[in-house]
Amino acid sequence: MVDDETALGKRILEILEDYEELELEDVTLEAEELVFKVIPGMFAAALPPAARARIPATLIEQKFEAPVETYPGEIVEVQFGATKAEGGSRKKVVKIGGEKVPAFYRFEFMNPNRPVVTFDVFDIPISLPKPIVEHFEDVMEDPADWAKKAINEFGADLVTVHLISTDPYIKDTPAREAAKVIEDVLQTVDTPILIGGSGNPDKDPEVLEAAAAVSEGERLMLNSASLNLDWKRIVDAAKKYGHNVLSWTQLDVNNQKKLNKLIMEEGMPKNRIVQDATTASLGYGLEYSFSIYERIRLSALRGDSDLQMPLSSGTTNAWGAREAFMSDKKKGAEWGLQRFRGPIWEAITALSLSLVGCDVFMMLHPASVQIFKTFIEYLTSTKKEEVPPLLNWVTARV
Amino acid sequence: MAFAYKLIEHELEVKDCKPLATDPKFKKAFEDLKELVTPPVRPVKFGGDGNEVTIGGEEVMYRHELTYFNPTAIAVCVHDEMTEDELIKNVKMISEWTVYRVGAHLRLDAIAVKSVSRNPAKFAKVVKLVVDNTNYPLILCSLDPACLKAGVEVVKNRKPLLYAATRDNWREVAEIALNSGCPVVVASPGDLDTLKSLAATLSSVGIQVALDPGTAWGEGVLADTINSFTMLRRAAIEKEDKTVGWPLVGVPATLWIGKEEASEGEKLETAFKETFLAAALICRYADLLIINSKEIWSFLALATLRQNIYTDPRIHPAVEAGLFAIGSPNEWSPVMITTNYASTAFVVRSDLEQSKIDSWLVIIDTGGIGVESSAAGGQLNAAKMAEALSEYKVAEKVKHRAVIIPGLAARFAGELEDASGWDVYVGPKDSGSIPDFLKSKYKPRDGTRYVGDPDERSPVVLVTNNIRDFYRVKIPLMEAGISTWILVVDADGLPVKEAVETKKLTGEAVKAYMQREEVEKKVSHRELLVPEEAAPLKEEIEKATGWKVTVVPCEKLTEKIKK
Repeated sequence: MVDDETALGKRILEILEDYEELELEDVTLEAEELVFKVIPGMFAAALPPAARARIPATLIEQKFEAPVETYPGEIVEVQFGATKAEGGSRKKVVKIGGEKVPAFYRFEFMNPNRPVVTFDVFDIPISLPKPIVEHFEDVMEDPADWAKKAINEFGADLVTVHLISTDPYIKDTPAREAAKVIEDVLQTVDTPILIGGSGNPDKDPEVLEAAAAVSEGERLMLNSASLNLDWKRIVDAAKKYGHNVLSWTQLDVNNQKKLNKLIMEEGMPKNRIVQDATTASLGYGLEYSFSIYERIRLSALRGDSDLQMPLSSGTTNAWGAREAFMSDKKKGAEWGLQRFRGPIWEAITALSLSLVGCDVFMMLHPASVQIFKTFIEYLTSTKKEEVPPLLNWVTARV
Repeated sequence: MAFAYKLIEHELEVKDCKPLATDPKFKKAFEDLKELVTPPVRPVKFGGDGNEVTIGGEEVMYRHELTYFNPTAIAVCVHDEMTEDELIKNVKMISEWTVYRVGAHLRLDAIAVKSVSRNPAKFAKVVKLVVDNTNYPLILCSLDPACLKAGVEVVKNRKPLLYAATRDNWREVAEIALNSGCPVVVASPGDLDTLKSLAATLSSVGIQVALDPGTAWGEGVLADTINSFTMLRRAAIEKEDKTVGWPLVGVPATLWIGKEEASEGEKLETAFKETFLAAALICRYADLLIINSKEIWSFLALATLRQNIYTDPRIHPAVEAGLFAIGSPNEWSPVMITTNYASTAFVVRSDLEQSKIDSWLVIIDTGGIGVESSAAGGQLNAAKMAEALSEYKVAEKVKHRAVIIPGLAARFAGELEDASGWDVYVGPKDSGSIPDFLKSKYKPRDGTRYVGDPDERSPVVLVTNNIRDFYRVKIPLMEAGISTWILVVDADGLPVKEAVETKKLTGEAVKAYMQREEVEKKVSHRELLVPEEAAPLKEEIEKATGWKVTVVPCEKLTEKIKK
């Protein structure tokens, strides 16, 4: 009898092994003595959570401490433009760089200069997406007017004049002739400008040299010295005629470091170099640029002296994205209104890089520039705007 | 080992190791391991019915240090004073929105249901309606515990996220959370001490929390917002402050406070700003965003940004393979091949775009490996390139058969010509030199070329080494299957017409080529067919070579030869 009962007990236990819980219905237990074997921890697992935890009667008050770091390195300050007293003719100068902490880490330190926007201007009318042409078609024939409009109407801090007509495959404008455009623009506007070539590696050194010569002493920037062309000639021109130079590489921190170093070894002062690690736009490799810019900036602050220059972005690349340039007729139903879709594409490309440390943004669309500049203003202003109680969003009937 | 790897990658959890989790003698080891692999930002899950979303679970401040794990969840608002139609329409729109890009279907993640009415019964009814129309995870939003409680009752089995516990209501909300097992957002805009206190208090009783430090758009206050997110994340990860080691919630929807009566224009402008603010928070540590606009351009931009930022930097991502038009190419534009390693494809594409080269770009699926490595590793070979040319129907796009391959894949040239029937032009090693290449090297090889299997009776056609003219002659002959000799004269790539005008093509030049190529030994006849653009040279060539010259317009060439 006893043996049978033990065997039965064993079998029941075997069957129950796979179950966590057993509910008995309509069962009466008749026993003189019941023995409960309690496994450690069993009750904690079985009891409902409400009974387990008691909500404190009062808030456990805590202090949040701002996690402040120190950085051994800092970014050099680069000045665009030279006033009369400084040997140029600019009424305004623009300073960038000088960061001591990562971008907008105001809880650590207020970096001295805010990121700036430079509008792209071309020396001949070029084919641009319609939403941009709309704003500039009246001035595209004249780069000086174009520059003026970008500054006066759209709040450009700077303009970049791209001498694209010098490209042998476009118009092959001789370097000296193209340089006249720079003189024109300098006479029309009183802000500093940046000078771009056509991107043709054989022709650019000559073009930038000629442009640098006609603007001697103005402290502009030559865009750009890169490893695939005669960068020495460009750096020498910047040195000789008192300009800054853009050190441009393609999505590669080591190459950026290498070129910066070469340019410094050529005798160019560090505070006249800006670096551009290439901007891949939103949706088209932005994450590469994002992380490369971030790595460059953090390495610089941590002390890598070859990377301690301000950063620049060719944000205009965003207009090469289909999401930005394709018309509503073709893609509106799928992607929404181009009026917003285009500018937001360019603006988000700028925004993301500004948050990881980029200082100069070459841009094209007035609406992208407007929201981006507002964003920068809001991030850097020492004033504090009154805002409604933020939790009211829950009951906003929208 | 495999289990350990999956733990580190957060594909499995410690409790998935059954012996460790169930055997009491491993209890300490279990707890220790759990502690060890719990990310400094703890993961929080909400939702159910097969559609769950995880927020947080992050290990690093900067994505290049490892990777970000759980993409920022994007929740879109509806509320309890919408009409039933409006509500259902919005819920469906949010749940159904999707765009396919770079190998993934982009989607939104959750629906935030707000109690605008502050009426618990009404809220519960609307929550029910939402649940019936979507399987997306929900966030129940009200500062009134009675509303949250009524809402939770309806969706308990789908474990919604509760918004929010504040300094004023935390005890009642904690009660609801404990009873339902739902995670809670603790909110304390602009006051991080209170935020941390709330997190400490609620998590002390085992409630999972997420932190809303306040999201504001405005002068100075935007800096506070971005700084709060940055400080909280840094405190959790670099200072190991476990109390704030929870997911961060951004609420760009705060931009809509007071916009109830706004005009359409103002609403669009608000959506534009909201998108921008949301984008900033995707870049700066938000694990969950609650937005109000329902504009598809906004969804597209945010989902794309999130896809970029949350791409694992340790894996070289591949781009889509296929045939792509760069600029506005036509039937004479060059055709180029590259691989689908994202960086390679991106650089080639941008080089072509920057140089304004209208062209056709064939992107080969090499599993995301670059040209040099894939050519060495076998992911790129002649057969694959030939297959791509035919699969993507490149021949239907162009009237030539000239394909440019990367300089680093030069060794496949011969094999590819045999496999595809296309003429292969070996391009530069760096796509930055493509403009120069097109200018100076993209020309048919001069000398004797042929179509089919010509013999001594086959016709001889003269043309210059210009891409367009050469293929204008060659393609119709190929298609008609007529075996022909083609004598290609080097004229610096100029078309016949310009070569004649600039005297690059002359009777003497033709004579020199005929001698060099020993054409008279190849054929028994003495008739040279020339395109009509070379008509002015008819007598000059006849005099120099002693051959009979017949002028034929290119389009009539096959017809003439057939006769």
